[in-house]
Amino acid sequence: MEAFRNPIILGFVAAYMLLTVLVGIWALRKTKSTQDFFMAGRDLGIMVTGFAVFSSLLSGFGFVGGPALVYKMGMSSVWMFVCVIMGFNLSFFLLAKRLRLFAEIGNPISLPDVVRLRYDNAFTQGLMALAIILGVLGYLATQILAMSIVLQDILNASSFIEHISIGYCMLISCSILVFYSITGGIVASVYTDLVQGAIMIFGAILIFFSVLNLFEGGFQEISQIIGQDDAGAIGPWGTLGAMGSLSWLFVFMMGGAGQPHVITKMMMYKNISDAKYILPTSIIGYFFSALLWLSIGLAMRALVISGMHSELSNADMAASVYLQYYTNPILAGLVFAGLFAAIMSTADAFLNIGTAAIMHDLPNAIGIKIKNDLFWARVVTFMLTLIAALFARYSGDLVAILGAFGWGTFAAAIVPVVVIGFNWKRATPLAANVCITTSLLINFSVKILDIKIPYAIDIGAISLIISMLLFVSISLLSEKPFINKNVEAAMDL
Amino acid sequence: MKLKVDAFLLIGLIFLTLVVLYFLIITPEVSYYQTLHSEFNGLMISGKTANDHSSYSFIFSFGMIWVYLGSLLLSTRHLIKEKRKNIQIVMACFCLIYLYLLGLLIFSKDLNLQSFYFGFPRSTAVMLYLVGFFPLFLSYIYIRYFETLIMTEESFKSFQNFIKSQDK
Repeated sequence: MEAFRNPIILGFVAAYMLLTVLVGIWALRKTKSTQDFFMAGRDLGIMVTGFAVFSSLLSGFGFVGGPALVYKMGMSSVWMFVCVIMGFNLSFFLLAKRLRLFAEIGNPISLPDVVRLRYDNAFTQGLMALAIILGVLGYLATQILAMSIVLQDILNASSFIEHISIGYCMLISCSILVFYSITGGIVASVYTDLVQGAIMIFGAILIFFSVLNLFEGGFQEISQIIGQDDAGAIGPWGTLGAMGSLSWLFVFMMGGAGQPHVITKMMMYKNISDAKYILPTSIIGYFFSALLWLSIGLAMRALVISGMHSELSNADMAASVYLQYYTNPILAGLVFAGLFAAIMSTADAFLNIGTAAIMHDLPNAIGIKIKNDLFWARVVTFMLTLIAALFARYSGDLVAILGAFGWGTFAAAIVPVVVIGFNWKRATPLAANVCITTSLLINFSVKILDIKIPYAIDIGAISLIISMLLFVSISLLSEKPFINKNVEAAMDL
Repeated sequence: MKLKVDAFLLIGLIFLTLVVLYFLIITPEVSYYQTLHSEFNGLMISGKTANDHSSYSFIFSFGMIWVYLGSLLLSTRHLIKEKRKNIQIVMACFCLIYLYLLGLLIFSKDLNLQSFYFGFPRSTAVMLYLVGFFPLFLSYIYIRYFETLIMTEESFKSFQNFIKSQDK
């Protein structure tokens, strides 16, 4: 079977790509209106929503960037998923019901639509749309870069291609992504999430056992190898240290409730009581899938340190190298296919919210009505992919660092306005506008000027704290805001 | 004494902001930061004093959990007084225990590579298994008391009918 390793892996990936095209065509037939394109008709079931919530969170960031960070820094990045249940709890206690209730008022098709409904302010809607577009670029770039790196690894390992550049791999990845997203909209994304989620859970469990059997002493031997080289790397704070890791804990614990591609799905399920089943479904799915993040990263670090594998030229290759060289070819093919599914469906979800922000929310905020909106939604999807691909190609960052930047941008702009503001009647539009603007300014200034923060504190944590403080204090200092009576009824429940 | 959730959250945020501002002013010594591995350039190794600022880390964790609790308490505002008080106590206890678990890790100087629990050194095992899974308790509360704490299907249907009647 080893002789056919590459054809088997390529076969699985090709079969998955074919499946993607078929899902896209099926979803195209199911998508008849902008409500279907952006909100999946608001009748998703428990399993579909639960899997969509957790698999949107993992994506290329979790499956390529996660193992890369563990390989590079040891246990530090594990805080990003150790806190996930705290994040899910916050999202479900504060948002699952509230967003579903708001979705009943005035048929909103995007998060900025709901923000406008809550604050009764077009400018707030426009600012939220802008924050989403900027965050989407960072995050979408992560997905495209992750997909291209994996594709390049697979193709370069095959016998029929001598060398393919990352640029060509990006072109191939974007072409498939654009076709999939333009045809299917959110319907394609959520149903692929279901398939992808199932593959990822199954694949991650098998990968975990493969890592367990890689060294005779299992994880204990891996821990010993890493610990003898640098005890801090296998300690709870990794190489980054306590403050850096704790700031990641804060951003990911609070920020989970501020990821628009995830919380938008809380407007799509059918019955309110479904929320209590969606929560455990998402937690269980995330837990099993995250095994891949931890186990591959640690295994590759131990393999390199012990001299069993040569050093990786790029940390982002950790997952694909492990799958290529240390797993059964069928398992590798299956996980690669799942990995592509993860990236594609999350990228599709980002394209979906980014497109809605550009062709629906921004024009709405300035009072323009776009005709033939479904057509323009598809044109904008294409343009967004192109810009994100260029960002990914020329930013020069690791997949996980780009992902963490996107996460932090969303968290600082959305957590105060949505998580707090949707549950607190005293919140005002002025506070929301100041908070979104400040969070964007802090995040982008630090990124562009490449400012180093003492104690390795994540900039996402700082901008989140400042934006929350501004939001609450300005609201308390402003006059009591006007709230639409339907919105007030939803907030009283 | 009546708990004003927004004031509680605001004080927590002010506290956390002051803590972070202090960190930004007091720059740590160079040995705090992780550095490149001497043999493998793609790997990082920990700085010599990276884990030596236990009290800073705990104060930051305290502020962080305060803000988390303040946000979480906002979800109880619609409940009647007795129910609200009960769930707020549960949430506060939950957060205190979570902070205690973080404190265990922060003040533990044990990176003894002789004793392992489920494949990891003791403090790493506490992080993965206790800090990671303890929040399931709150998820259980959400699922078990959904109708009492969150909403019943009947209230949702009547809200839908109310909105439909407004639209007519």
